[in-house]
Parts: sequence; structure tokens; C-alpha cells
Amino acid sequence: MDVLGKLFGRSVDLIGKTLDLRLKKHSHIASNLANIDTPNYDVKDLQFQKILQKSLPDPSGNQLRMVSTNVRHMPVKKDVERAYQRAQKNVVYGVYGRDETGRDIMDIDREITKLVKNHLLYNTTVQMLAKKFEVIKYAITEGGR
Amino acid sequence: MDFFTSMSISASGLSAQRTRMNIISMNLSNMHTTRTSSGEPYRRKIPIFSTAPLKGSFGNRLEASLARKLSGVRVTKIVEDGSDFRVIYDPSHPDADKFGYVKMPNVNLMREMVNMLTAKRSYEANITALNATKNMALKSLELLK
Repeated sequence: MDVLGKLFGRSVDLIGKTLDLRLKKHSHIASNLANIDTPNYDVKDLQFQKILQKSLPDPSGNQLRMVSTNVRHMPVKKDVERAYQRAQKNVVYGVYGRDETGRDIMDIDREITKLVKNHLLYNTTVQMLAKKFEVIKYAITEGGR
Repeated sequence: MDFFTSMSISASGLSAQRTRMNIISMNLSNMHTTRTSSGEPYRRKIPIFSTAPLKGSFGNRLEASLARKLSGVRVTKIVEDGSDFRVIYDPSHPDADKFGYVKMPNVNLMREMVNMLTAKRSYEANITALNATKNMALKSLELLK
């Protein structure tokens, strides 16, 4: 496990989780679009970016975090996993506000834009993961020569 | 949660919009029908949309409900428009009353046309979502290359 962990690093795990969350967000968008003509439907959205971002170490190094100084310490690097668990439950209702009768407003143009954006980001994430594996493969094959 | 969840959501949207389209066609084609089996002129039909749990095994449904109630859509019932019939003066019509007035169906051509456009746009929105799902699935298959 340790060897594999060193081989893939933390980012492969994070990218995989991001892919999963993007797919979940996509399902919510599809549900909103399918129910576009349903009265009293609650418009939903999965917002995970900020939660996931907070779990990452701050590049400026200002963030305070727990440090383990001994191997026997309780593991503290489960931040990403915990953020993932929290992020997939962060479903927001009524993203476009409510009208005067208290029903959710549905905006098809913004919803489609969100769909396309999510789609593009999904593809980008897949691309990143593929490149990551490519680099590892390159290191393996070139190292053997 | 997988690609098939969002695909079946989009599919339910497609099928609901197609049902709506069928009803609009029925309204349009019966715009001048003065005789039906109930004895009165044709009444405009209206589809009622409501959210529907996803089809599939118990496990799938459980997962969908855990994922903050992702839901598809379906036409639960088709109701008749109770508004008044259009009355025109045409003494030569076989269904005219003794004063020469004929009751025509309460179908408004303009309203049906507008409904048809909305149904078409909603259908397209679902197609877009379905295509995006398909592309995402294909893209993630590229990881295997």
C-alpha cells in the first residue's frame, strides 16, 4: 500500500474523487432538466468545489493543521476523504431563487450552461488522470532501458 | 450512482416530453371535432407532470433516494380542460342548435403552438444532457487506452 501510495501520490486519489463528484453533479443537472415542466419541483445542485478546495493544503502555508511527529500518531491525512464525504451531501436547493408563489425558479439557459461547464471540467479531469498515468508509465518504461 | 442513473433520468424526461407532444398533436388534430363518444365536443387534454422515482432494482432506488432524492419525471395523469367551449354561428352545421350556434372544442391554436415549442425545447434540453452523459462515459473509457 505504501509503495502504491508513493507511486500514485495524493493527486490520483483526489482526481478520482473529483470525477465522482462531477458525475453526481451531472445527475442532479439531468434531474433538473427532466423535471423542467414539473410543478412544485425543487431545483437541486451539488456544490462541492469549495469544500474540496478547503481540504487541500494552502499554497501560502498559512493554514493551521495537525502534524504527526510520530509514526504511531493517529492518521491526520484523511482530510480529502472527509471532505469528499461531506461534499457529496452538500446538495443546495433553489439555486435560482423563488418566485412570489414560493416555487423554485428554473432557468433552462443557465442550467444548460452549467451542464456544458460541468461536462468540460469532467473531460479535463479525465485528461489529467490519463496524463498522470502516462507519466508513471513513461517513468517505468524509460527506467528499464 | 453511475452513468446509467443520469441516463435514465434524461430518458424519463424524453419520454414525458414525447407524451406531451402526443397530447398536443391530439389537441391540434381534434380542433374542429364536434362529436365525441361523450356526446359533447372534444375537450382539450392537459398532461400533468410529477417527479418519479428512478426505475431499477431496489438497490438502485435506495441509492438514488440516498443521493438526496434524484428523480426522473413522468406524466401521472391526463386531465381535461374544463373551460367553456368556443361557440360559433353556423346554421348549416349538422351539430348546430336551434338558434344556429355550434359548440367547438376549447382548443386554442396559438396556445397549443406555444406549448409545442416549449415541449420541443425541453426535449432538446434532455437530449443535450443525455449526449453529455454519453460523452463523459466515453471519455472515461479513454483512461483504459
